[in-house]
Amino acid sequence: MAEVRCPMCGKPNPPEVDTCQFCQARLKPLVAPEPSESTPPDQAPAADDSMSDWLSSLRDSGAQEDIEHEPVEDNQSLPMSGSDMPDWLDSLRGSSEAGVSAFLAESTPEGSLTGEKTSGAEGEWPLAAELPDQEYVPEWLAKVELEQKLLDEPASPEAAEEGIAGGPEGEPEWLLKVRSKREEDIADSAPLEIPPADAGLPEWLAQSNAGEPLESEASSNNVSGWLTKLRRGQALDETVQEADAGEEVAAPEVSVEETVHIEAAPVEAAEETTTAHAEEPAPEGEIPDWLAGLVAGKAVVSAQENIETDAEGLPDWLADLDKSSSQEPGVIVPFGEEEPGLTFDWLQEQVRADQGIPISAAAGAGEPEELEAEKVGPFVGDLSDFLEEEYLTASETEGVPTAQSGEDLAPAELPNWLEAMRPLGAAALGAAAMGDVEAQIESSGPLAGLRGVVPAEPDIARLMKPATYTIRLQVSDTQQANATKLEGLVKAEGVTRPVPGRPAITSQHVWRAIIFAVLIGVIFWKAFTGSQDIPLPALLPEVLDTSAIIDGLPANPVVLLAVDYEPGYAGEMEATSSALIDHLILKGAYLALVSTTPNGVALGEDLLQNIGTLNGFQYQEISQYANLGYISGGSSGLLGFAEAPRQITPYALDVNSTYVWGQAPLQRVQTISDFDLVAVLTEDADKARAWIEQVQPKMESKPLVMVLSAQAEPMVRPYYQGNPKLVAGMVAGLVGGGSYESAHPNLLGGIGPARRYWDAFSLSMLVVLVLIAVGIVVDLSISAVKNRKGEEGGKAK
Amino acid sequence: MKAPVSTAIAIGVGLVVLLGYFIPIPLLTNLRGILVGWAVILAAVALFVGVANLFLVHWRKISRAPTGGVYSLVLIISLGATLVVGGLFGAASYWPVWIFKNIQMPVETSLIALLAVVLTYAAARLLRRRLNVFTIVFLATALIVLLGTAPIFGIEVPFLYGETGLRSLLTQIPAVAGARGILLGVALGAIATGLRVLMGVDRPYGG
Repeated sequence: MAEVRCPMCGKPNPPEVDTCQFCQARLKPLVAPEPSESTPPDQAPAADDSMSDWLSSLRDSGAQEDIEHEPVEDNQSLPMSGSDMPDWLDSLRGSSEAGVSAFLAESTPEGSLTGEKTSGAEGEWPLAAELPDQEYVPEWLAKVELEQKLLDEPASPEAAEEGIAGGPEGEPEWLLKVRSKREEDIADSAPLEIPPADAGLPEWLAQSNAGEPLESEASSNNVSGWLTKLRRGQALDETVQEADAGEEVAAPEVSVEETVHIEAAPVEAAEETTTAHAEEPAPEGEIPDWLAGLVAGKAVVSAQENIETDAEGLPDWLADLDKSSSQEPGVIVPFGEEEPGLTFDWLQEQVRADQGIPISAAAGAGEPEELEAEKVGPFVGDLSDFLEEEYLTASETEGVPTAQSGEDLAPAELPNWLEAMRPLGAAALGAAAMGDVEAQIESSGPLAGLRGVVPAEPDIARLMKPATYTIRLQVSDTQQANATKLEGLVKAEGVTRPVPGRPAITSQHVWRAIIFAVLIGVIFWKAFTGSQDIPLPALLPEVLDTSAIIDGLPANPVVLLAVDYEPGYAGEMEATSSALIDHLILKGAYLALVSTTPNGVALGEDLLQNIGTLNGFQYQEISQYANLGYISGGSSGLLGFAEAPRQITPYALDVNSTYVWGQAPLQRVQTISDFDLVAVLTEDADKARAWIEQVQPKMESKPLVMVLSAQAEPMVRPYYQGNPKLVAGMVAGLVGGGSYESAHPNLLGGIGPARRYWDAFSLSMLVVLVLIAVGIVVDLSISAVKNRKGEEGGKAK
Repeated sequence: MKAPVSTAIAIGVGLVVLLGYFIPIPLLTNLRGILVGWAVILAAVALFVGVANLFLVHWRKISRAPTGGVYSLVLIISLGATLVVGGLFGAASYWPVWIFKNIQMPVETSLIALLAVVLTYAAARLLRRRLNVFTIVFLATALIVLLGTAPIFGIEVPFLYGETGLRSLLTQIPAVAGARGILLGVALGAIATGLRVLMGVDRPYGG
């Protein structure tokens, strides 16, 4: 005997082993198939010797499926003749037909899958008696004959009344007759005997009859899923076969019920009769809940009294399913017309699509339910998902009308714009490139036999020569002319052109020289002549306020003098402030000099020296004044000095770096408010503002006086004119200094700097006015002449 | 934010100093005084660093281009001499003040003196460059103020001089109004700048 090939992994195994050496799958069934004694040798499959057992059983199951589904096709088409069929199909059909003949001849009406067959009397089953033993009768013809005989016999009214399905409205007549006949048989039949041999049964049924169904079912738990499905399909086929033979269970629901019992019930349940199965379901502990509920629900179809009792233990969805089924127990609702929610929509659509039922037609618009039932099939919709899948697969393979092919569809009409967008070249290229790839059939590996699954060198196959585009720029004559002009302009920009020479002496130079000569001449004239002919300006209000503040200071006041101007403005600032400082010295003030600019230290020293020179008095450092130096940090330094002057400037800038805060009169000064007066000399408005904003608030009631240059006056005047006055007094510019000197003619020896500068200043100011006026007149005249020439030129043109 | 530590320090110090103005708590006041004292010292150090940097820049300029570094050489010599004199005799002594009075002051005063010539020329040529209403108003205002600043040969024009004269009206009403507007703008700008620094939006200290 040849080696046995494993049905699971396909690898060869020695014939003596029971399980596969590679995958440990069982090679031999637990129930050894017995050779069919009643099968004639000429009807036996020719290939049985070469086929393994599992393939034989599979073929038998396929044959039985043919038997089951042939009534659906009997009314539509004739069976194929033996000459048109291929060999393998012919042999397969022959074996199935032989099985059917034997089954019809020898099986009893009470034959059940549970093994507890009640042998039907041959006299009560006309089909077996009328069929010739060895004559070939096609199964479809046998079915027609069987139906005809059943129709010819009168149905008993009692059986019709006691029918399981209370509402035979949706059942065909032949089925009602079969049911009636079966009821009579049940009433009259005695316990049947098990036939000694299952001559007409398929191999798997023979295994069941051999008395080891338990092991078969038990072993099913260890097999793979596809094998389980296959076995379930076999069981389903068996039930259908029983229905065709006139069993008690005529409705498809009962067949499903039996199938479920076959799969789930233990041995005890399997040995019971069909009716007993319906009335006494298996204990809940041995079967899953869902299956128990389903069994209970289905049992109601045949025995309505158990509906409510069994439905209590079911989930809601399953209870609804059972209720809906129990509402019309005798009606077979075709798939697609059942109550919404019983099946999945996608499954319904898929089944409709597979069976060629349009959706609109599936909605049941005017089509009879019987016709729908014939098209769809009785089981779909009431089965579990996996059973429906198996059933639909089998129906599809048996020639159930499929969807229309694409040839029947009218070609789509694309709009022009969409047609223009179609990548025809790419599509053609892809089609050409993929043509060879799709033609390739995998010869090895897990994809063997598949076409075009793994394209070979797709990138190389899709390579194509890139399209060539012209790079020649097409321009019109106008564009070419414009480009030429642009090119000429660009080239002209790069050409170096000689710069026209400017004259050595221009009107600008002449004007500058005239202004300089006039100004310096006037100044030199007044400076060298020492003229003091022009009177000083009158006393200004701010100067008067400043003078009054100084006059109101106590004797020997301590005055903080901030020298915050730049050396370039020293001439103006000395002339402005000399009289004021001399006024303070006359009051016996002790001056503390500070500065927020590094130049302020030297400027302060120079200022005091110049004032001393004018009034003939040399101020002594430390004893009469103290130069505290530079306050760094700008506004922050001023704030720090205002709050703690001793910490910011602890030492004087004398040779000994004296700590002046420990000596009189600065010994009493702790904060800025301890100074009697703060006088700020600056030419910068920002510096003046910093002193006003940072120091003045710390001075409490002590006055702050500003000595400013003429340019800073407008910015500081708001502080002076405000209410309250942040600046108590102000002396601004040479005018302010001259005004102060005029108010105090005894200061600075009677001739202060303001007085010395005033004539030259006044005369030069007049010259400046004249120069500006002359310039304005000349410019206006030139402009008028040019405009006139322009107008004359325009008129001449 | 590149330097969160420096930003946090700046914001914290700013808040302490600001709160010290509004909340008269001795702790805040003293802390504010300490921080301000640090700022004064750091500013002085920054001035010294600036002088050192100026010396190094001009020293490199002399080293790389000896022919073009004459002015840099003069600057370095002047810096060194002033530093030596000030260090030896003190900043307020005679020789440092002499150097300042006879060198620096005449130079800077001369530069300011040139300003008088340039401004006069610019005013005289202004109408040639731009002749419009605003230019005329500007020139008229300048001429009136100059004329009112220094009486011509002591002759005071009644409507021009004095507290009610045209010059005083111009300098104390429109000029002061404009100055106040500028000061208000400066104050608002200072507040905005301070708030931006306190919130870390502006980081003039880097980071």
